[in-house]
Amino acid sequence: MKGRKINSVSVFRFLVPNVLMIALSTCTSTIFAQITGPDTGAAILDLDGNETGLVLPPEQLEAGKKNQDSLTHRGFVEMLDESRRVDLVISRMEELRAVAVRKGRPDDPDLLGFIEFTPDQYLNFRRSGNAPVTLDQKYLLPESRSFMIRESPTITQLHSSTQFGNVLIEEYPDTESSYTRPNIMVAGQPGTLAHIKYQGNSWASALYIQYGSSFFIIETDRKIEPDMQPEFLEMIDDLLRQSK
Amino acid sequence: MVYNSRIWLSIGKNNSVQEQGWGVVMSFHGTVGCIVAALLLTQAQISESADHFSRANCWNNESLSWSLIQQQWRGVFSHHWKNGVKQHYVTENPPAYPSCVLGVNGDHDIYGFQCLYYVTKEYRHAGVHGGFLSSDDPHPDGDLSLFTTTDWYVEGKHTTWIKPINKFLFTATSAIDCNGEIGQFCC
Repeated sequence: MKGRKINSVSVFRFLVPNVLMIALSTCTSTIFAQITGPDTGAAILDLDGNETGLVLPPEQLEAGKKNQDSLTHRGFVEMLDESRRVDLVISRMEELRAVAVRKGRPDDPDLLGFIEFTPDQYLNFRRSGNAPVTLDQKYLLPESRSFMIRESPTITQLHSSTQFGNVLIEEYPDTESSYTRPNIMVAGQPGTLAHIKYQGNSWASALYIQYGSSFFIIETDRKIEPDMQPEFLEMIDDLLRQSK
Repeated sequence: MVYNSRIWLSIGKNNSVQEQGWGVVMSFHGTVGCIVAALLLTQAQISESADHFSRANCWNNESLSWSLIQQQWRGVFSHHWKNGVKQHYVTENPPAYPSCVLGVNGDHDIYGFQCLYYVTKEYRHAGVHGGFLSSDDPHPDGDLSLFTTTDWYVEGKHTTWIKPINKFLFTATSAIDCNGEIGQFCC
């Protein structure tokens, strides 16, 4: 049989560099994926998969991934180092109110940064087409109070005394969102319903959902148990369908 | 209870502080212009603490946002389009010509040299990008020329990280057609 003689040295010369190259390539790919991948990396990619130039601190990104996994496998998220967001908002509003009172302008919206509104006032603005979506009055108990908070460019509302406790509604207009695993459908769109355990073992439930050109977060200050979920989702369905 | 309609109207983009800041910004070019404009803008925020805006413009390519209430990580980035082709990001590493003003009120946390900032309950926090698109500063994006450059616009966005579900939101601050302004770089 003709052919080049193969000895152990040539095998060694052939195999070792190639094995090393494969190992190096695999290792490099892994590292690259860890740096740039949307699920594992620290770099923030835009919706086209391009790097934005922003990098999230690794410990924060790790916490986010842990939350995502916890939601998938345990059905809830632990944010034990943070205050419940409804409480945070109420606390901040009280601080702003105190400053306005101290300055002798307790009703000055420029100092407060928020306004209180009632459903009938709101409806007048809805008719003019200028107001953002809000909860239907039928979901508010008689003693409920509603506030609109100005942010940039988020629109945040707080409604007290609903059957789900205080309800915080955040609308991010002109916003697109990265993919996460949806676990529920509301108003014909996929959303993520999460139960969150905050500092002091206080519970909340939140729905995260893209609807049209806005992204919505609707968060309560109590855990929405399975038997209450249909009504909770119906309330959100009503809210979203107001949106243009 | 007093209901004030001005609040509702100022949710849009045309509040008085924004218009004032815009006029100032448009009179500057380059990095110096960006930094000075950023400082002026933050002064505007301080003088009108409850006001807000977030935007990009043709000169300084800036996006700003802040929060009254929420504690969140937010990043600001923006990019140019020229002759229909997307140009690099301002925040590329190393930054080509960055100017990033963060945590105006000092109570902030940043991670590295980028416009990523942690919004705290102190609401005067902003991120600003930009400083190129100027004939005074040679730059890949600084060669805009009358009649030959078309389809030029600047798109600003900021991203908000939603920690409980590890999701990023990308909010368009503005997308501005700059072709009407190109004469600023000519003659």
